[in-house]
Amino acid sequence: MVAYLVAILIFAMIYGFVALGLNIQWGLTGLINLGQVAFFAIGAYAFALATHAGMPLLAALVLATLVSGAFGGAVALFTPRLREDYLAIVTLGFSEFIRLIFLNEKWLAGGPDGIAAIPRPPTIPGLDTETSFLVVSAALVGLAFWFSQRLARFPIGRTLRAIREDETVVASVGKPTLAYKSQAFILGAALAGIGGAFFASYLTYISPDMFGPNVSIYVLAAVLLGTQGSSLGTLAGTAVVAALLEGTRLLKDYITIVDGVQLAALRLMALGLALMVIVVIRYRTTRSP
Amino acid sequence: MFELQIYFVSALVSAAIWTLPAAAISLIYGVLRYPNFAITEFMTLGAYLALFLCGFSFPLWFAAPLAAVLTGFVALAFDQTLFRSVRRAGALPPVLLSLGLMLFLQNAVRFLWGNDVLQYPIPLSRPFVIAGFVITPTQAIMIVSVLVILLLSIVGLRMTAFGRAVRATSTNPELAVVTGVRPEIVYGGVIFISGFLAAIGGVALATETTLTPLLGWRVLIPLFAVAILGGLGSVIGAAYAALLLGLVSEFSLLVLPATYKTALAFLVLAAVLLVRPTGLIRAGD
Repeated sequence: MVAYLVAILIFAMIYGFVALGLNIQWGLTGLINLGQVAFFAIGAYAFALATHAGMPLLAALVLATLVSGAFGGAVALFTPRLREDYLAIVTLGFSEFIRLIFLNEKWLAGGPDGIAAIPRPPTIPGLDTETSFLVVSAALVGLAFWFSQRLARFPIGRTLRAIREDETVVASVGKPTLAYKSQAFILGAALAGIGGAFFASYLTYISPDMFGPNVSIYVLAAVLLGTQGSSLGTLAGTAVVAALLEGTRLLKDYITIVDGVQLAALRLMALGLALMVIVVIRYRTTRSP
Repeated sequence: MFELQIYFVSALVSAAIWTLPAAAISLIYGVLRYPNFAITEFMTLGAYLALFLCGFSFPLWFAAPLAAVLTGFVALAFDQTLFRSVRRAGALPPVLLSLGLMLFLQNAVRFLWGNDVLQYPIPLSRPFVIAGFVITPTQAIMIVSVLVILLLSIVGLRMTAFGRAVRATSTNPELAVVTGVRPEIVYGGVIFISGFLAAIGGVALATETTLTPLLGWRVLIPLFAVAILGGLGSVIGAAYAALLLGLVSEFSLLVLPATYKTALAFLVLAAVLLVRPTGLIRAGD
């Protein structure tokens, strides 16, 4: 039971990075990103490949952060003038594009077999391996949280919020909005990359089928649940989504009328339904006549 | 030369599969102004419903349209219960809803039918050769059926009162309301038709491949590439764009590995959005 709880908390930490990143892009700056899983996957693969190439763990983590941030910057630079709905299509398409590359490039990423034997950080003396991993990831989520809080309060945060409200006004007072938007996208992608590195390290094995659209939907629901733009709300939202989704894994031991595949399907149906309900509650308008 | 003819038939088959679901994306975008990511899952649902009906020893030509009507009603039900409550909240809420619906439907199919690879009970038949083009009877029937439904949709949009209301709402919603068009009827009708078209596309795709819960999701990128290439909002544009993308991706096999067909579609999609967001093909409705 305690082991389950630790596992749920670790997943909450991993998705916490990704959600904090999405919160900078979407919550703070208003740039919708339906493909956050792309940067999560890039971080995971970069970390796995770097450690296999013999890099120390911390250096691999930094590299994963930089590489996913760079991809975020590339996406931001190519899509500066896209409207919200087009950005939604491109980001979702991009995430599937990235997954296809990892699936097809056997020489780079092992193809459908993925990459195994990804190392974990050394265990803190006196703790078991799982708890130790939780402590390390929680410490880094704390750091990421502190960073996003500072970011929101600094002048750059004010500018990003202003871009969210009205980009033209911000541009008209001489602010380089493209540079600001790119920075927000880079930071968000980099945070997702850190999440990916922790994901790879925690599971010690990654394969392309782990990086479907579910992760993107997961963090969209988390950011929507928290007040958009608030880092604290985002983390609370992540905790709720993680409890709801990872917590229901426990049901496997109690529910016998459905088999494993069906239970997994039910959990993802619940995620889809949860996202829809949250959206309706958040955005409901009066019924049209 | 024989090689090129094989590519041409494959391109035609791909185009036939993509046309109707891409037209559905296009119609919804034109009238309701949001990209609907759940269309691929209506394809999957329609394909499985047709398989389910085949289980009652209905032939596929009868089961497919019936399944498509059922899928249309499912689409309508979700539209009326969820999407309708965010009608005037901009493009983002329905986009997010369609993403949630995508996950929900995909896993509902997985829950009901499992992850096993299934197939329609179509007897294997010998392909025939017309002027050097090798094509199976199933492919021929599929292409002809899609063409018939496409023509019916185009004629329906041009000739009927409902079609006029759809085109009016697509061009200028405020003016349409002033002239007596009831928007909710148009919205509901468009959603139903889109569910129908997507399901037919799903059955077409499943006759060429196999049924898995990821049936529709696998063509998400080509479908959006086609819909955008055709200029979102236009059914004829979607048909031309499907043929164009079909040819480009088949003939790309001469220089690119087959696994990159979908990736190529994404590059086409991104390039069109960046360079010319109104689409490459200028056609009427």
